[in-house]
Amino acid sequence: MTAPTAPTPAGAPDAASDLLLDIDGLGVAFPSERGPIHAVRDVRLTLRRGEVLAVVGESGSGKSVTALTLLGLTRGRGTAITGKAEFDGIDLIGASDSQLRRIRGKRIAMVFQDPMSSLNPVLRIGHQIAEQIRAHEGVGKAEARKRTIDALTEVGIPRAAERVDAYPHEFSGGMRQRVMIAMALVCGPELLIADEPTTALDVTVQAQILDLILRLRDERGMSVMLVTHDLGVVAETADQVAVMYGGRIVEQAPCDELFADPRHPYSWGLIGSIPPLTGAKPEYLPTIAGTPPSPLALPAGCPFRARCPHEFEQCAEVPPLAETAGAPGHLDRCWLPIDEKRIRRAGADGRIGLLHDAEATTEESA
Amino acid sequence: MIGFIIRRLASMVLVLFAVSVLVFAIFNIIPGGDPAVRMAGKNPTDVQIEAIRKEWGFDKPVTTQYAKMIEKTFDGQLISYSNRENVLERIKEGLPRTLSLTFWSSLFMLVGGIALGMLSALRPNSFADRTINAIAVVGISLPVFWIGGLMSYYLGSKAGIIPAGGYVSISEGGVLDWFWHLLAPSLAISFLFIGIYSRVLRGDLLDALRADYVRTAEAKGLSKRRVVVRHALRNALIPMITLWGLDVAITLGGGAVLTETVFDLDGVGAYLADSTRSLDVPPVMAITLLGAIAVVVMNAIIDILYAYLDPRIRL
Ligand SMILES: Nc1ncnc2c1ncn2[C@@H]1O[C@H](COP(=O)(O)OP(=O)(O)OP(=O)(O)O)[C@@H](O)[C@H]1O
Ligand code: SF4
Ligand SMILES: [Mg+2]
Repeated sequence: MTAPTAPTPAGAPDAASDLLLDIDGLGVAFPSERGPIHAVRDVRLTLRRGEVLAVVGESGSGKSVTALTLLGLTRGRGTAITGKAEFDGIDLIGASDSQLRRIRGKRIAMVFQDPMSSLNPVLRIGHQIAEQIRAHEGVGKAEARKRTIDALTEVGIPRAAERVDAYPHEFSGGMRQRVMIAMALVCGPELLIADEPTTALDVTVQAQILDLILRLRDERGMSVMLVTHDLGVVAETADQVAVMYGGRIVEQAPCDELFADPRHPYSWGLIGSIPPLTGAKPEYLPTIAGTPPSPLALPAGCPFRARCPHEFEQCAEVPPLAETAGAPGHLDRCWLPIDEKRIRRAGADGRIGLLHDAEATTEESA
Repeated sequence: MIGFIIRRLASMVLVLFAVSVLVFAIFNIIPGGDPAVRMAGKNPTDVQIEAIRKEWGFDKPVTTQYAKMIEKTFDGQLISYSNRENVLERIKEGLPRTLSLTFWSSLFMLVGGIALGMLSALRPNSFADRTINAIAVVGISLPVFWIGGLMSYYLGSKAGIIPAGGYVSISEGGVLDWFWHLLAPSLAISFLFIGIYSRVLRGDLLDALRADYVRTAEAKGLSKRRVVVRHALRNALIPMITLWGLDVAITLGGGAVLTETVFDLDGVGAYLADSTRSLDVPPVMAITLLGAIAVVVMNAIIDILYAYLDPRIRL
């Protein structure tokens, strides 16, 4: 695990201006023929300058929708967006399209999951980067091109001065993701949102891309919101971790803290499902039984209820995202008392696990 | 590129061969196809017919006749059976008319198709989209001679708003009068294609607007217009342009038979119609070959355009 190594940016000493992103009560519901799809509900997240916030959770838990909503990319006819999302004091939910356009790509940049489809196949990569510079800054073509080449060089694209005129299909997946990162960083954003930036890449390339993002974070004091499925990546990169389930945040904690003392039964399952890097491999990886809830028909009460082996009467009500005394900054959304959580999560063989944990379940089902 | 040109020339030769054999065969097989009998006039004697056969070479084997006709076509020596005028001279007279018609109609199709397709795709299922869809369905199902006839009669002969027909060249009447005479026929041809193109473009543009690279373009903070035109439209236009190129080629090669006839334009298409009616093989052969050349050349142009629009395509 990496300790936070970001330099504190000059001129931002006090805690209030340190807060870059402040999301509270964020809800996103898409219209559909069968009623609203509540993709994101009551999401609360904060991100300080220079920090890496990892957002983890199963497929469909609302990670991408949360990220896209920050840039206004889920806006559309009939989409209901509620709650607060402030970026450096700017209200991102209420901002007009043209206000948002000035922030997109300039102050908040985004890197997407699939570098194969995220670049326009019919335009030269240099053009795609330069047009972003020119959309935000009144610079000429030559200057934009020069900066594009510099940006490509910075993300490790060899012979950038030649490659700037190539088309996306002339690059490998890893190189295309580097191009995407160069594009994201070219205007010097304060926040980089990376939505599963390595999922589509080979393992070795994954590590390179993550290293690149972290290096640039260190050099620039930029904040990063890293959406991922991969807890191994989280452990290596994040300062803060938010765990999402069924469109809600179910736990948020500093990275070390989350791995050392996970509070929410869903987090236990997640952490139990990463293979240990050292020592003997377990015979099976615990997976979380059942499937995530459909955002069309979310259960009443705790979103994890249908799959939680520890479920009891109180879970029929939605638990609040609450801080436990003695651990500031560690929030979770579960009704179980803290002592009970610690007892239950210790599996039979000392591993954190959720499935096959028969002892823990029999008690409650009485 | 050289390989591309060679391949295209080879395919052109093949297409021309196939098309010409087909035309020749059809006119040799159909009943009443013997040109000597028709040329001999009413109540001819066998001697007269025989004399014509000899003079025109209809007594030779068909392969020789075919070879002779092709040779004459490319020599410019082809003579009409029905009035003995030089076919290529006659085509040369009609070609500017047909070219002018092609120019305006292909412009209307392209502009109309893109405009309506974009309007539809940017507001899917809106009132505008539904209206355009209805118009497109009407445009696709109305026969061109019917629209053309109505326009020519009501707007032309009756109301006198536009000329009922005829052609005025630029040198005769200036650009305005030239355009004014071509407006109604070009529109009549375009209705159908604007209907088709707007539907095709709507679908492709909606797909493109959902594509990941468009989301990237939005995330970069580009203006809405730039996102739509530079990123989405450019990709979505490719299939529509293909259709357009072929339709242009067909109009150019005398395909606008009905429109040219209804509006009395007397271009290549009208000549084709007349010659077919009188079973006059030489003009039919020449015009069909012209059409085939237009299609093959236009196809090559589209492919070059394609490679320009989509760099993943190699010629
Ligand atoms: N534009 C949309 N219209 C309707 N439903 C949507 C839309 N975008 C997302 N959803 C739904 O919202 C839910 C959350 O989707 P989201 O993409 O945020 O999941 P995710 O956590 O990013 O998952 P993954 O790990 O697969 O990327 C999903 O059930 C998805 O089907
Ligand atoms: S609130 Fe209840 S159902 Fe939800 S995670 Fe906690 S114990 Fe399980
Ligand atoms: Mg996602």
